[in-house]
Amino acid sequence: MTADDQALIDRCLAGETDAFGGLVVRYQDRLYGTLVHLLGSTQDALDVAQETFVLAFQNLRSFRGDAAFYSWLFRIAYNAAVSYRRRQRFPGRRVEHNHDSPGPEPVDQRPAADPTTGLLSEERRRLVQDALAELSEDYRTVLVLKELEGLPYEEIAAVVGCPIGTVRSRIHRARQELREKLLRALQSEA
Amino acid sequence: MTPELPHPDELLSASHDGELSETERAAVERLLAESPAAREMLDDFRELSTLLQSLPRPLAPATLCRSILLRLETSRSSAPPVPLPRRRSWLRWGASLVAAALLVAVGTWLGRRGEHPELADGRGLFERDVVIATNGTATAPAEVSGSPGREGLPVDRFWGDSSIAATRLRQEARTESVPASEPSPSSGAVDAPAAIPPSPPREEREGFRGRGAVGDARSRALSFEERAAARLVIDPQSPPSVADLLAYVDRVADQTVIVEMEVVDVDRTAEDMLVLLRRRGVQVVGEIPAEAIAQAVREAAEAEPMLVGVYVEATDQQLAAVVDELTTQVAINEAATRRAELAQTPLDDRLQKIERDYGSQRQSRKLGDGALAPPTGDAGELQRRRQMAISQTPQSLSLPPVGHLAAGAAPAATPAGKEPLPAPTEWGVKMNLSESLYRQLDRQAEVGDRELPQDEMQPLPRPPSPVPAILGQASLAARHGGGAPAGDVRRVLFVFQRPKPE
Repeated sequence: MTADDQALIDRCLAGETDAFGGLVVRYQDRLYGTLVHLLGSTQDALDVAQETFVLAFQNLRSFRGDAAFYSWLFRIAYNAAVSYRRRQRFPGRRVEHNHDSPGPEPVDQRPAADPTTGLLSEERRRLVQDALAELSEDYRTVLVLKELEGLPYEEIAAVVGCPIGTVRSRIHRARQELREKLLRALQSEA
Repeated sequence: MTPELPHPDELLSASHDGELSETERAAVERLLAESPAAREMLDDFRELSTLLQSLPRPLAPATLCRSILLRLETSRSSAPPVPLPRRRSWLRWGASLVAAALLVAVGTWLGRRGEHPELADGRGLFERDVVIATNGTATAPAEVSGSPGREGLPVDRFWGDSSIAATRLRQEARTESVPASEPSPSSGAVDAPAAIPPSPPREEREGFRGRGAVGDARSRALSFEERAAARLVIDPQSPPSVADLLAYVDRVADQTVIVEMEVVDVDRTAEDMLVLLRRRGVQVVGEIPAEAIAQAVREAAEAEPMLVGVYVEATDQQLAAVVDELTTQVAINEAATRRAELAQTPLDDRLQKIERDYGSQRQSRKLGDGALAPPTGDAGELQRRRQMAISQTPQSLSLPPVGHLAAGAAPAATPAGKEPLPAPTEWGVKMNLSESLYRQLDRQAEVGDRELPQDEMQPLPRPPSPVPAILGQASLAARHGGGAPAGDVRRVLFVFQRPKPE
């Protein structure tokens, strides 16, 4: 955890509610961006992100500081997302099919992992997003946590509440399924 | 005994993530050395990672931080030390609010029958009122409408004044007198400044609120919810009427917009409204879930007509966009609903139904036409300030042409030779989906894409009244005996309350 995070947390615990705004600003884009892919809907992601930060504030005293603040925050977010899905009782929608987004258009904030591959074509991006959205919730969750959040298996296991072996197995199956979907899609396009 | 290794592909996946034990790593190295398929699989995993990590990461909406801090403000008393599920708290609050509103509604109805003979004989306009959510925020407008001597009051003073209005309403109910906020039926004009009661003694204000709400320090200590409750003045023992409520809102906040609609499906309209608000990032203060609204609407379904008040926080731009969408979207939905209903009945029945529904509306409108005189004196000052607010109102508030509403297309310029659409000429927007609009929509549906003959183009909704919108509404509401839309058409009045523009 950074010293800045700790300072902001200390101020919150001292009664300065506004200091929490600093933590929100610091992590809102990262959390929201992941939730969008996790939930498949910008509106759902917005609801869950808001719920997450409020819960985090209310439970700030339970944060012991032995892990990164964001990891702790994300565990709250994951639980909030699970509860949210239960309440919604309908499967996640695909990002590109959701036109009721109040937020700005998606912006790629990260440099490409491999500069030689260049930017993805819009068509390929759409294929990947479609395929990701079609994965089962369990598979999509661990894959998003691994690939977009970069969490190690141990941390993913802590977030989703299952053994590391299960995480490893799910990630593998998710990759296999995603690979097959993309191959089929590319073949049908060809 | 050597533990059984997972499937080779799973090992490859874990290898790609750097999550292998020493034993597994050795096994994977052997596999890669021996199997071209394994190497290809690993390459695919790497490419997949590249693809996934290159997906766009949407940025959080700019409103997220503010809305979170707003929610935290509401729960300041339960801040970090107390783990409190926020949503549950809101649900409880919302449920109690809706319940209280229903109590208000029943109490209002029973109480008003005694106060106003025109209500006792069944001619009352609002037989049941449903207040969905209340607004209360530290960013409340400092300018107090109708109170020229109180311009620029700080927020804390503002809350002190709200308790004054609250006390006034309560006093009126106790004495069973006609509230001062209601205009004289003979004059028709609404003298807003006169509706501001004198400040009651400090003890009386504190006694009514049941907590210290007077004075800067004490007001500052009030929680968000306390402020919201104070503003709405829900007191089951002496409930305000709709007219009182609207006039009260007008008195304490000069940044309110009313959208009035006559709709077939109130439930759906309320849902549409919430969706539109959320799409625009507008906060419904209190975050009453859609189910609560639906339930409130169902509870009130037996009484005709009804009023739904929703209090929101929005900037001018947000609210303008929502109002614009609300009027067009609901119009489209309403037209579709109505057409679907009418399509199931023979033509003669349909025409009779339209005549029956719209006939009484026409009658009720006549009661309101010309009943309000231009404001003078302090009311003129009030109007001047509102005109200033109009200048800040985006043009998107204007209504799109009816033909485009029916087609669901984007608004376009009014064709030459046709009556221009009424522009918003006052602070706030009052829109009726009037009989002429419905007639045109129905007729347009019959003729399809062909343009309606000129003689069938009904007059568009008349321009808003030039008098103060909310008090005008309150006045009409109080005097519109039998003004309720007939049949399955119901009047819905959305009250949007905004913070003062920066």
